Amino acid sequence: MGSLFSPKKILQSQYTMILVMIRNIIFLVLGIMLGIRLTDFIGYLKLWRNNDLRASEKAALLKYPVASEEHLATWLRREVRILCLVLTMPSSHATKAALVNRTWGARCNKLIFMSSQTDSNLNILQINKSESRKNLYAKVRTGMAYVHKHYLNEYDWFLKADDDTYIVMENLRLFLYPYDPESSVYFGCRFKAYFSQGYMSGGGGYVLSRDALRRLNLFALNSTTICKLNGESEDVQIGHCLQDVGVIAGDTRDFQGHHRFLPVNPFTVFPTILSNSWLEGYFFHKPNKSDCCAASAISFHYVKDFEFELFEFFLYYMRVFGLHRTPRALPSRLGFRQMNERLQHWSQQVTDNKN
Amino acid sequence: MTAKMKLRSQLHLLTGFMAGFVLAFVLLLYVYDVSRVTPCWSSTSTMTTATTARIEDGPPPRILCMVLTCPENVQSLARSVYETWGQRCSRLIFASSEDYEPLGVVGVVEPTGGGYEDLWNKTREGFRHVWEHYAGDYDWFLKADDDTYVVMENLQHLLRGFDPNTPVFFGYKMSRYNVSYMSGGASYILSREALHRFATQAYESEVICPQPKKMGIEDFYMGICMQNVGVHFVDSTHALDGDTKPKFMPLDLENYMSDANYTIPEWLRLMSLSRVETGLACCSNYSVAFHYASRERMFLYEFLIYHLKVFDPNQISERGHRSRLTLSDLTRRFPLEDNSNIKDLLQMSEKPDNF
Repeated sequence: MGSLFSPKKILQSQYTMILVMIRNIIFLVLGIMLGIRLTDFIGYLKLWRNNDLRASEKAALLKYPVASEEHLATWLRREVRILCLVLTMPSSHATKAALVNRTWGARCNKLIFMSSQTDSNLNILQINKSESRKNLYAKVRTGMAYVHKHYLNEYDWFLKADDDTYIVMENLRLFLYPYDPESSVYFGCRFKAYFSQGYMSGGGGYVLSRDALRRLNLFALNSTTICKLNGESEDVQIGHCLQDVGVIAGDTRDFQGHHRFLPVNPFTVFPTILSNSWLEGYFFHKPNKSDCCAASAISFHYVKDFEFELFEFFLYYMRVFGLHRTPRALPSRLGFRQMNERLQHWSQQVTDNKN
Repeated sequence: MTAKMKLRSQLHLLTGFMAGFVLAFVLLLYVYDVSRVTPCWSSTSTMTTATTARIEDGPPPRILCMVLTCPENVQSLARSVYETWGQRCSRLIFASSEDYEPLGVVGVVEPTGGGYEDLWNKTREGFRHVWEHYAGDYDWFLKADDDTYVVMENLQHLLRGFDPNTPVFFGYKMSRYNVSYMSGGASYILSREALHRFATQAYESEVICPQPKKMGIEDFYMGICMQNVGVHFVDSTHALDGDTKPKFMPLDLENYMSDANYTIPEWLRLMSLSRVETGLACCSNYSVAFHYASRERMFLYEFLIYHLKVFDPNQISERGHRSRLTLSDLTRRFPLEDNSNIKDLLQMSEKPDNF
């Protein structure tokens, strides 16, 4: 009886309990450390596929894989890599093309101008075709083939615009972020046509996914039956080609039905799109008439020279005290099943515009 | 017994390890993951109902906006002001030659007048009317044309630095015949005390203030009146510490945004106190007023400033704090004008040269 409660045994029992506690804590800490390392490793795997990231940037981002909100737009620029193809002509090099180059074009991941002559101040892909409206399509085909050959795997999305287009690149990236560039899809301002899917208006710009560009070049541009050169507009022909190779026309309206890609100057649609205007009859989806434009608008067309800097001033320089203008979170990325559901929905859309 | 204890021991270790791992993993993923599901960002349903966040330090200055218009412009320009920036005034009054109740238009001159030649009379009578009815209810009194666009939030921020009970005259300062005045088209602001002095000392006096007359030079004459009643001229270009660019634009932004120098008229260069820049360096990031705004241009500014949202890190809301200048600070920084250059008002020609 007395031996069971001897001080020696009690002390030994306490000592053992302390040892067990210490051992448990050690393993808890090891678990925490391993969890941290695994999270870092996952972040590293995400960044590894981004091969244009410099070593110093890799090292910095490894510490903070996604960083704080203030760096979201910078991070987004690397997550959604957009190559911009801009149609121009020699007479516009010093005016419109130069304005694109130093305003919104500077925010593309890569900017290439398509023209019939070179210029030392611009990154020009020279296409030896005379400048006329009927050569636009041939020019775009050549540009698309060049980009497919040299840059297909380095960028996710491929934007085609005119030199009188203004693109809000941050909003374009925000819009494209949920979508998989390996899906066969393209976006723009959707117009009606004699073929069921319709086409994206060229002036407001359109953006192809990597797979759309791949399909266009492998199946359409090499074919003598699918994608012929004819006298139609560049955007109509491209739209027809893309439909024929199974590229789906995506819906770019916001949740209120406002078009994000505007094929005109916003000037001409204030305060609302006029009834019976030429534009109203072209839309694939009937526009929302409550006001003119989407809050997350992406593109404008027929932009005058001074308006490039006017937009630049109001969007990137102007501050209004007390006014919050920026959404603070990204939408979620779509998984494989969700993306397919979305593509299916878009491919089944029928125009509701009877004009 | 020993085997059982060993098993429990291993179970403890495994539990600790897994708990640590899961804790670290989930915690880090939650903290750093920007792809978590978020609701769609909301956009304002209509442009005119855009709201601004309240600046927290003290109530905002109460600004009465007096907009000069005429019967022909009531349904176009005046209505545009009413539908856009006028909504953000503490009170909006239109001064014209005929009443029009739906927009709050008050006839302050006889019906036969009201054109450009009556601008000075309209201004005099408008301020008199405002003083008689509203002087005690508001801090600041803005006079604008019906083709001016004003960013009220930035104006409020500017005016926070000044006491409305001190005599302050605020705008784009210019000089003619060595006499200072504020550009009328870019709009100008009187403090409560300045308005009081105008209405009680200047209005009735032929010696202090030019009398009503056709083709009176409204802004130049107002400058004379203000100087003669001892009001301090605050050039908005220098009203914000660290910002030395104009905040009130006497011209259309189109003239400023063009890189060509010929778009800035010679009279503005001659009579401005500082160098007039073009391009993106033309204007302050906290600009307040733009002149020669057509109806479409007003809606464009409304869209670009309040409606269109750019996903960009630099658009974090500004919440700068401004301390108020005392009368002695005001006198030191913006001394009273030298009015020895003002000729005898009775001898002043009907229309001075170069106006």
